[in-house]
Amino acid sequence: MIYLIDGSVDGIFTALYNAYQTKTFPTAVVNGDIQLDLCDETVEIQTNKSKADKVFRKLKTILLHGELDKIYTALKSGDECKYTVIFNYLKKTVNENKCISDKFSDTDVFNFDKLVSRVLLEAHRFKGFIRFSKTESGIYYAKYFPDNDVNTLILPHFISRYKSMPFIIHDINHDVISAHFNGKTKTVYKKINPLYVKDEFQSLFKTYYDTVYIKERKNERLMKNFMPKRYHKNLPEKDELSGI
Amino acid sequence: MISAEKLKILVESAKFDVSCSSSGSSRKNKGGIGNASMGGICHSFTQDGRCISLLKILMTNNCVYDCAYCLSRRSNDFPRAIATPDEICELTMEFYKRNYIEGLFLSSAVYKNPDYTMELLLETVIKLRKLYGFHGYIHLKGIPGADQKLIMRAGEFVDRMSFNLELPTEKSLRLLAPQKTKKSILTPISFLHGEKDADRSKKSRFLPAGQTTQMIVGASPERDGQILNLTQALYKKYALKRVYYSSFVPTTNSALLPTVPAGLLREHRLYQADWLIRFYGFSVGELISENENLSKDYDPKCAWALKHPELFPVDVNTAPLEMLIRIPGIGVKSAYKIISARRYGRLSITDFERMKIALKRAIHFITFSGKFFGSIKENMIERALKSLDNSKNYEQLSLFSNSEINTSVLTGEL
Repeated sequence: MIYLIDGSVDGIFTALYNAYQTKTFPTAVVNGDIQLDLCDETVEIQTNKSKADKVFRKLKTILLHGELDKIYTALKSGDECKYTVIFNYLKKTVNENKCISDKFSDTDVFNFDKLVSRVLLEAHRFKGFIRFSKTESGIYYAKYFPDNDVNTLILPHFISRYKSMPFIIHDINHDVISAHFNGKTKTVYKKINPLYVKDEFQSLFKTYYDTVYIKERKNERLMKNFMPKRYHKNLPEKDELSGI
Repeated sequence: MISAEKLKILVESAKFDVSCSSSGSSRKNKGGIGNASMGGICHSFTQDGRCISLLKILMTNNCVYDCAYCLSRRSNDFPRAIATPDEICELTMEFYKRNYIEGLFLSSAVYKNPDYTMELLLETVIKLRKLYGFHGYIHLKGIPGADQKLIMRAGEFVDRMSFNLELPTEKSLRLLAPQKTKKSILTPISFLHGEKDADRSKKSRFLPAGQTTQMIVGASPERDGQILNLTQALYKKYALKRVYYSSFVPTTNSALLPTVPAGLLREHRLYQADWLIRFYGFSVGELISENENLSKDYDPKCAWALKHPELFPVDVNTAPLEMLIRIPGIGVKSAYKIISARRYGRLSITDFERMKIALKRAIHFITFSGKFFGSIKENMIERALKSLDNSKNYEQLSLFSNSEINTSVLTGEL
């Protein structure tokens, strides 16, 4: 049996409530707009605020400080299986009726932990891999293509770093755009065409990038381990640049 | 703005400085641009697999010294350039605003004399902080032999300073870098350490990320044991944050130097041993004696474990953390995972597989509640481990090949 939910955190909580009420548990939990096999038996879960709140309050009494936040981080994941992973982890937590977030020998806990770590790792990477270009109006614009929806996770870092410098961070993959002007920040989820900005410092940085490496120690595989190829189209120092 | 030509010349000579880390400081943005991130951030990775964290550049490569191993040495016929403080500041700011870099690593050849050079460096960092309002990371190379007052003053503005030891012994220094002495390098390190130590109580921001140093390995005859003993002494005596090793690459044709590169494997093993000293509670004496080199066949932890069969196998369900991290193939992260998970019940080999803890090496040194799955005979263990380490990088042991190797890369986040 497969649960169809709306993809919200309340959707997952409602699904959990339903499962315990009917005492039947799904093999997978998916977002409603995904393609399914005809032979799968599906149950559509209508998000219900009061059911979700009950589950939320229950989890709040079980999970240790900080563990609740991880559910929201996990939801930022671009992994298709994320709803199932989160659901199974929460189900196990409720079953055990205690916080088992560091029981790594348990597959459900391990998978959930991995899901969260991947999102956080990518967020950390993009603190480094984001590239701004200066537009004619003096705004610094960055577009990028992350696997996970990390915009709001990296935003605080750039706000405290740049403070009064106006900037825009644009996630093309998830259609998220965050703007920081005059000390105020706003994030919207909306499809907006990416900007193409020519910035003279891109070529100067490429010069730096090409000069600073030690030719006698060339090791491209190692470079790609740290900076996977799918991130390169965001980087002016790489040739693969698609006309930023 | 600095020209691409000049940038190339000044970076070309700076690239052999290994350090690129931007960690250890939590400088705040006080109304300008920039802050420092405690863990450091890597912004890019170059084709040799090293990270770009800081803009690594020389003030000038015009040098009055004549160190045999150095590209910038006086007697080398080579393009020279000098940057102005403003050129360095502007470039740092523009790169930083575009998030290309985490800060500046400013170094210099000795131009005219040590004091003159140090003044130039000091002027640049003060300008960058005060005039340009930059609060990002600055790593400043100290010039040995410069006036102590200049060096101390610099410590108030930058996050990290480093004086490079260059070579492991005074004797080698005399031979290859005749204008530098051990004293001229260690004296400022000691002064800076004293000042930082005294300042701890005043909550001052003197050199928040401490000091590091670097030495060239393979240009002179010292053994790994000697080098690591020196390293340990530096960590203990001057509380250095890191010691970097740079495997010798012949860039000059000096008769005093070897004509072949020292090889990346040696450097890799030194970093592995260095890691064990800093994070795994090993002392140098346990790993190696003064006149030995590290094993080529096994990593230093494996080599240590093979020398101590009386301590193994260790049971993963009862061993304390200090012992878990001494098991070959088990790192700090895995050890913590084991400690957490075993609170919920005994761990079996399938639990390890589920937790994705690598067993290739560890299997020969551990038991799961008494059950052992490794090889019993010592020579079988050695053979099994040897094949693991050599399977991938066999070729690079040859002196003439430049084939790929999984070196311990230097990232800015360590």
